[in-house]
This record gives sequence, structure tokens and C-alpha cells, in this order.
Amino acid sequence: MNMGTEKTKLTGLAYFGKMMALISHEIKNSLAIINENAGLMEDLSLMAKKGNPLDPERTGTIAGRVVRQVQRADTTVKRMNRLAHSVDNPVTEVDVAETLAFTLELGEKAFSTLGLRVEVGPLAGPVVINTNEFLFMNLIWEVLGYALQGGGRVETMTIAIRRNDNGVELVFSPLHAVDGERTPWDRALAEALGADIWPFADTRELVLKLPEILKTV
Amino acid sequence: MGEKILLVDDEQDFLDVMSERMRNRGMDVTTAISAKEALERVKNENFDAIIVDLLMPEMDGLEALKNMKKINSDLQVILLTGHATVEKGIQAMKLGAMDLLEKPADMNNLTEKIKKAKAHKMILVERHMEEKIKKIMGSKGW
Repeated sequence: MNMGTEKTKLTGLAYFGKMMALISHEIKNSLAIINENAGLMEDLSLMAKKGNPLDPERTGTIAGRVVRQVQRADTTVKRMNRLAHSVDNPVTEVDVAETLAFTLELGEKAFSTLGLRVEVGPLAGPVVINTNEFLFMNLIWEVLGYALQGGGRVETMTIAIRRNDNGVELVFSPLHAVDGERTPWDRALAEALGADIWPFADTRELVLKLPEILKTV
Repeated sequence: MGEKILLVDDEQDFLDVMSERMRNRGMDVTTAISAKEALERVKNENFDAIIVDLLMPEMDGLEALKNMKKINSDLQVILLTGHATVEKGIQAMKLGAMDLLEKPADMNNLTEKIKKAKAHKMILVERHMEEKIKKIMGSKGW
């Protein structure tokens, strides 16, 4: 593994930046709703001063909305913290399905803005590999970017996780505009993870293969 | 009479609280949870101002703005965004947005913009009426 190439550093930084933008947008949305509820409380206090009695139902609804948004922002901050810690170890035990689900949660807003849904296929049991968690997430994001591009719009993309003799395969389908060639765009990232990526035009699938144990140099 | 507003956002909590605050200020507020729903409303109703969130699923605020302007070029659209950038602002203005405000928006500032939007819309309606009358007068041999 060579995590230090300029290409992987730049790709990683771009991914981290994109995720931070999505996270900050999510936090801003929560803050905006909390802010408007504070404003509404102010409005109601002013109205009460003018003789309109405060309705406990309304204040209860406001409190409920604030609590909901605080919980939502807390979840978002926890995700941000997990992303930040994904760079802690060069190689660590990674639960493939769990990390894939986390990667999709982080990018959900970006997909939904495009009108897309990404689902993970059913899995018999946990699949664990030893790899670099951050680069793995980065590679999933890059592959998704490739898989979701192309002609027509795919409403739902499914990612299936399969074991193979050497590790694990992630199968993305259906794909548009597959040329059947190996993709040159993220070779550095794939190389850093010992990964292989194959798009198949006939089945409209893209297969990402990762080793069970990432060898460090 | 209060301003007739269409408020578009994919966050139900935001729609609820904003519409309540706007109604407290005497505005007549209709809400839409998606750009698609907003476009249907715009086809069938008249609004003094439309307030649209920039980042929404399926169709974002800029795309919605483009489609709204196709339906009625006089529509006064104010965009709301979590992060206002110069680039987005320029893009929005080029597409005919009246303004771009950052969330959380100050209610007094937003109310001011809404009043301006209504005034601007009235000028446009009057101008169209004038043009229509001129056309009719010109076509008759009175």
C-alpha cells in the first residue's frame, strides 16, 4: 500500500471537503429551524404582552421541534466525528456493510438532490476486511460517482456485497454507459487499497474487488 | 391585504415554523414540500413572492426557478440557502431570482424583501395591462 501519492492525497482531500460541505449544510438546516422556533417564541411573547394568552399546545409543538432538530444535529456531528477518526489507523478491521452504509449516509443528500437512491443488498453475515477505512470510503464514493454518471437516470442503484476467495466484491448495478474498459480515473486510489475495478457492459454491473488483508509496504 | 406567498422547502419542520411566523405577520402562506409540488401550484395560482430552498431532492432551487420562470416570467422568486456563495448568487440572478438569502434568514429582512417583491410584481402587472390597453386601442379605429 502506498497512501502517500499526490493523487490519493488530492482525491482524499476533495472527498473530505465534499463530506464536510454536506455535513455543514445539514447542521445549518437544523440551526435554521431552531432559529425560526426561537423567533416564533419571541413572536408569541410579544403577542402575549399585547394580551393574547400563550397557548400551551403551541409552545409544546415548538419545544418538540427544537428537541427533534437538536437530536438531528447531534447525529450529524457524530457522523462528522466518525469521518474524522477514519484516518486514525493506516490499516484497521473494517466491517464492509457497516462502512458502506455509513458512506451512503454521509453522501445521502448529494444522491437525493440528483433524485437517486442507493441501496445495499441483503447480506448473510458480517464481512470484515483489513484495510484503510478512509480510503475505502473514498473509493466507494469515487466508484459511485462513476456508476451514477452516464445517459439515462437510474432511480435506484443497488450495491451487493459478496465474498470471494481473496476478499470481498462490491457489485454496483444497474449501470449506464459502460464501455467495458477498466477505468483509469482512480487507479492511484484503487492501487493504494489493492483494489480492482471492472465495469461489465453485458450485465450493466460494476465490480469493485478488495483484498481481505491490505498489504503494507 | 397581506402578501400571497408560496414557501418551498423539503424540511417539514421549516415549512411549519416559517409559515406560522409569516401568518403572524398577516401573510397568506401556501407551502410546498418539493419543487414539483411548487410548480403545480405556480401553474394554478398567483403569488406575490415565492421563497425557495436552494438544495432540495430531485429538483434543486435553481432548476425550480428556471421552470417557474418558464411558466410565468413575472414571478418574484427569493432563494434561501444554507451557504450563500458568490457563484450561486450570480447564477441565481442570471436565472431571474429577485434575491438570495442565507439561512437562518432574519425575518424582518425577509419581510422587507417580500414587500419589495409584491411592489415589483404590481408594477409588472400594471405595465402588462398598459401594453394590453395600448394594443387594443391601436387595433380599433376609434
